[in-house]
Amino acid sequence: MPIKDEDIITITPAPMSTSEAVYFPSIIKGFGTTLRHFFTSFGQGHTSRTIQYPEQRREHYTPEQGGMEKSNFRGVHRLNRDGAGRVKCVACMMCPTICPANCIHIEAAESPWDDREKYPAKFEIDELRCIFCGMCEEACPVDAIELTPLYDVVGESRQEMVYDKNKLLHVYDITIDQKPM
Amino acid sequence: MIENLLNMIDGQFIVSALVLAIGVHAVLGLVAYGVYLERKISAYIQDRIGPNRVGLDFGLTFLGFLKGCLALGQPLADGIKFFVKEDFAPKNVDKVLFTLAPVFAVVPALIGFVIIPWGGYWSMPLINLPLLGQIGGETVAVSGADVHVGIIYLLAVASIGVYGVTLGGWASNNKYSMLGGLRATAQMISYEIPLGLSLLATLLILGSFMPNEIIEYQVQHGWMILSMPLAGLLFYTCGLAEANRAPFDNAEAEQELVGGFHTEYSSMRFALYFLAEYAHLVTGCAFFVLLFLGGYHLPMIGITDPASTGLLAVFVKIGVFATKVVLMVCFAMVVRWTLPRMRYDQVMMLGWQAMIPAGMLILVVTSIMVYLGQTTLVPMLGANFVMLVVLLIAQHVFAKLYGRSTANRRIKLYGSRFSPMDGERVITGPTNQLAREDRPVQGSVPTI
Ligand code: SF4
Ligand code: SF4
Repeated sequence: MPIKDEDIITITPAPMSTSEAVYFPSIIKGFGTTLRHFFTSFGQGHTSRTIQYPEQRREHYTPEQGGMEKSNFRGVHRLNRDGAGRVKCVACMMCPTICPANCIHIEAAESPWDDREKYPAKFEIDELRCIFCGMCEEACPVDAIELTPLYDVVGESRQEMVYDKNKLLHVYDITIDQKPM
Repeated sequence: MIENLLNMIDGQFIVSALVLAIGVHAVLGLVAYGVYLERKISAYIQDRIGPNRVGLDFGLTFLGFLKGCLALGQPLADGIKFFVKEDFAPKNVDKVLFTLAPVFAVVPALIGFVIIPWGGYWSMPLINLPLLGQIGGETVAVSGADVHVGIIYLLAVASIGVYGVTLGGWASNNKYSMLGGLRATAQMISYEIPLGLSLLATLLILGSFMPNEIIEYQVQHGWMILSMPLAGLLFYTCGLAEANRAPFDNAEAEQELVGGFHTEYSSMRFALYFLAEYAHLVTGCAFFVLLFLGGYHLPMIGITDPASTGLLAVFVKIGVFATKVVLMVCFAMVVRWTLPRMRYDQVMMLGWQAMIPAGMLILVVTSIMVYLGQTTLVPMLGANFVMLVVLLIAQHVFAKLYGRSTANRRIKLYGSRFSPMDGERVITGPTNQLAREDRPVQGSVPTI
């Protein structure tokens, strides 16, 4: 859409007024602002925005209080199980295709079950490369991969942070209460 | 030979040695806790909390009551961290200068304290000491050195400090460090002038270079900040610039110069620079307190008069002086977290086009007042008012002649949430009712 001439507003910045040009009135106003914040937030007063992690966590608060919304938080992944407790994934390769960080590695194999053709023999997500964009979750046709509210995952080596199928299924087991499918 | 040496040791010598030995460590402690104070103040100003974990309990159960939320152990932890970090020097640096530069920075910052008259004078009683015999029985100055050229010495020492910065920048063999060092030099040269001018004007009235006499004058005639507020303002601002403090910390402007002169420094060498910076700040504030805030004197409180020279009076005076210095340091910190860093050309412009002319005006007007013999509070206040008016008129005239720079005001924009056009109402949440209901959380839609 071309920009119409009448939509263009020419803005000439105003020159400083005398009080601005000698700086000091504005500086004193600035002191007022900083000191107000200093005294209102002193000792975690009412303007203080800090949550004392790890004693307090964002999960304990509602989004209005600055907490987090579990249902759409994008934390570490999980692989969902179906009703029979089997991995739900059908190894369709949608998620490794869409993943912008190229961090999902799947080896598909013929499914041992009758209701589908393929299943992932190996399923690895490199959580260190992942940017937690949630595209894999959106791409999955069978809702097998999901991001969970878990965010404080740690590991002592890089290898440990490459989550394999068992680990991802384990994440499902521990987060299913917090975030139902 | 030994006899001569022993004869040199009199009451003043012992007191000076004591003051120095305690003073240096007190200042170092003040520097360490200054960093802590700065972190706390900046945190509260920015609605955060700041350090609140490292107590002084050292993991021992019987010290559990010290496991405070005040994090008073943080400076200790920081210090230990600096000691055990790797001391890395890049490949192509000038090794000798690279090592020497932090020393050049820190030594001038620490020796400036010598002449600060922390406790005025003390009538020392006669004390019998082994080897030395009787000493004391005289009035001694409670400061490192009670010299007549005190102020000149302090000025001289304070301006050596920039060598450390410049040499560090040069030795690092890195363009950012180099630029930082050069900036520090140019800034130092520019701000030394208005600093000197305002100081000169003050000294014209004080009539002495000797720290104790300066305080005595102020006790009799009122603090200098009352009779020379403009000079005080100029002096404080230039002091900030000299100490490389925000808003004049262009030598280490992170946004432009990575870290400025200390980009390549790590570990204890970096800590020395850090220490020097804060020590400079403390010296600058002590200097200001000495010249403008009456040093150890509090009005209406007899014990802080120069006339009372008992031991108690000395300690009260030290306390008053130190409290004033700490308050000034806190003020400098509030300044740092209030004002954004100035652009480098603006710093230079402020120095040469505003500070130096203002300093000259102050000097000239003060000289006239001294010539007329009118240096008491009321005439000086009048003179300050006249100076202020002259400065404002000059500012106005020059603005008319050369035009003013534009103000950085909020500009109204179409579709802006923060400054919409007149009569426009900008809604930032989804307008579609369905989309709003689709959102699981009520609070994530801003109230419109
Ligand atoms: S969240 Fe994004 S980056 Fe991470 S695995 Fe999924 S698609 Fe890849
Ligand atoms: S998109 Fe879903 S079903 Fe397809 S491979 Fe990924 S997790 Fe499995």
